[in-house]
Amino acid sequence: MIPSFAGSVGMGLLWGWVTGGLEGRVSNPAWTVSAFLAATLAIALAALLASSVYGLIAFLVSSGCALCVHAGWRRSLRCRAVPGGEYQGR
Amino acid sequence: MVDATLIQLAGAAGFGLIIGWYVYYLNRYRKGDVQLSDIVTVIGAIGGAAVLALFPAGTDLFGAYGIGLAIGFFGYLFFLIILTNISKNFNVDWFLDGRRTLPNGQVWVPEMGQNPPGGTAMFTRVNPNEQ
Repeated sequence: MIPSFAGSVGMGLLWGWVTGGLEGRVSNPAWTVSAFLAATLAIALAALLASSVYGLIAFLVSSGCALCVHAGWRRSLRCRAVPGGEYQGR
Repeated sequence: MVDATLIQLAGAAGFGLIIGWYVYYLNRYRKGDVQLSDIVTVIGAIGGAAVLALFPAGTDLFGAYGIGLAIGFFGYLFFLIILTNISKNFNVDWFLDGRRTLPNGQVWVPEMGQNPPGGTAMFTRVNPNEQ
């Protein structure tokens, strides 16, 4: 009734949005990026186990889309909050 | 493999909905920089061993869980957008750094470092009735 890769899409959207929220607020880039890459690999493995290779592709595509949308939204908010200036917040 | 019944699908979706809602809540109230425990919590919630054990691989239940997860997570965001639009003390910039208008008209930005008591005044909104 419901394709199992829909679960991977849901997981990917959530994970991508969480990751996109880091845009502009990472104080230790090396640690944060490596931790999030490892976490992404772990969740991608779960998606692969749960719904085969189609689930993995669905997870990666949906998380990438959500990441871009959230990061772009945060960037536009920051530009709007302090037009032409350097934002000092997180 | 036996197809899941409607009540099983509804249960899996409802479970995902609650987990998704709670993940947004946890992420929203996270203090400071990202900690390892934050990442482990999110991984455990959205794709941990418990989830894979509850909803066997390749089944409709896993699909229903994932859909519920996304609905719960983005439902929280949707309600926040509605509430900030309705309120006179918050606007969309609240999503960036939590800024809000205090009762005295000052805009307070909680994430701009350590604030003195009463918050950091960005500017004072002049009340035309007091002039």
